[in-house]
Amino acid sequence: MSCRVGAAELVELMDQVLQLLFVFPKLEGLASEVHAEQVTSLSAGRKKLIAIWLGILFLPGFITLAADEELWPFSHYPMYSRMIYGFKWAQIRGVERESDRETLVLSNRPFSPLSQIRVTYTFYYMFRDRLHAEPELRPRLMRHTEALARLLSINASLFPEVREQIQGWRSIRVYGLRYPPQIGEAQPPGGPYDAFFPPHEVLMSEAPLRLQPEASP
Amino acid sequence: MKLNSGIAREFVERQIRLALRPADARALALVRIGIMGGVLFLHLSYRHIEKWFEPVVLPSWEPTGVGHLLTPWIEHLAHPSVANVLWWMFTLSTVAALIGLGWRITSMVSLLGSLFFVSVANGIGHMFRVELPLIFAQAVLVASHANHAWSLDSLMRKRTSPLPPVEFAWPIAATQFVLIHMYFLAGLAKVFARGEDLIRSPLILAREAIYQNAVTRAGILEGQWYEAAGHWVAQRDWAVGAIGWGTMFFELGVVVLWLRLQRRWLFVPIIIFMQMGVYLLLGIEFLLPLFLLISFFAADAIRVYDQIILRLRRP
Repeated sequence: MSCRVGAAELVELMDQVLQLLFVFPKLEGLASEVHAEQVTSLSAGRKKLIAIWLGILFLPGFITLAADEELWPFSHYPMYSRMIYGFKWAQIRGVERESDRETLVLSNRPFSPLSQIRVTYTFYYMFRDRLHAEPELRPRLMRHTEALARLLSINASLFPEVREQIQGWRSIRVYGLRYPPQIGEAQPPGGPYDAFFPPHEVLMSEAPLRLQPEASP
Repeated sequence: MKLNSGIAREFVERQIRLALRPADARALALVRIGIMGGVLFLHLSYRHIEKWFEPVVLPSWEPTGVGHLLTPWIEHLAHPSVANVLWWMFTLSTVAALIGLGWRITSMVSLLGSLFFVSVANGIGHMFRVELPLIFAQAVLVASHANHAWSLDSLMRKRTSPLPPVEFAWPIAATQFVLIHMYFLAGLAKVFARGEDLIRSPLILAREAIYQNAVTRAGILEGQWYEAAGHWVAQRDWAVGAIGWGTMFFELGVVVLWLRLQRRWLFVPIIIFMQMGVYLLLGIEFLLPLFLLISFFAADAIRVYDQIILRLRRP
């Protein structure tokens, strides 16, 4: 089997499957035809330059895929391509000064310029796969939690709604949510949906909040 | 099997010919406006980037990849006021690039700004990918003549030297490829999920993703119709399987879009539907890459525009 047959047939087959599955709208008249001679109108130097630039942009993606490791800014976008055991998610909560009551922080403003989901992911990835490395994880978690507390207090001085939200808080806590032991570590959580609930909560870190005087945004 | 270099070369050349559709300078200008509009949105979202250089926030700096290049600057030179000045410089450059003013310089400064903002934001423990396709599209445009039409540069130039049409075609094709490349790699990553069962894992992972959202966004979702939708999906194996397998099939199949551009009328609505589904079911705003969709319709838009102008001018 030659390379030509393999590649061309694969594409043809995929296209045929798509044609069978879907009815295409009759808008294809707007699509342009191919102009084969276009490429030859570029100078050799310009062609090389473009090829090298595009190679730099696109080839590392395949290397990160082969290595299964992301190297910022190159990625193979492995969203939801790994099984997760143990810790399932993180939560960031504010603790009220008077009552000790905890409030889940869900809005984006307190985490500006990042978003709630992004900050939560940062903590989650920190302890997701490190069930057996907690001693070395602890200082890192604390450093990040203190930084987050500082960020919240800066945002409180910039945005009135954040100040209103967190002015009664004395600290923030980061929680790890993990599967019940019989599901999380021993086997992948692929069982019935009901078995996912409820997750166990583990307090991972806590940092005090010190509000700054108000500043103009 | 002996690799026949003639066949390989022919194959590569065929792909290049297929990818390059005729385009004019205005189509590329439209892509420039769309992409730089997205970049401006990105820069505005980092308005208070100087917060990262506050004394307590800075110690959490943990760069990844080429973000290490920023470390000396971060450690020795970073100051909130410097970061503030940089933000203004990068954002104004983006505005200038958007309107095609001093394109060669402003587009490059804007690209550096995007890399700077996102490197800093990614230097806090985990890498995020949502901005990457937009930045790669920006990197493609930097090397192009995207200011040849509909720009202040073209208005100020007294005489415009003609360029071969391929100079407008290749950046559009490469911008399309950024999106195709992303989805295709994401599909391959799921196929090559290390040490897992290929048949079962898409189903398990899709359910996990939906479950994760149910836990994460409990307060936001409560009472919303999409909370009920998430739970409804998660309780049904066939629905979860359809989402898991459908996503993987689509991500791998997107390579057809590269070779059959006509299929954009199918793929682009699916991309929009999928990302909206990701947002509603998983709570992840993976919406910035949608700015790249303009590259699939820029040439069509110009044709429609020309037809409208032609009709308006008819007596």
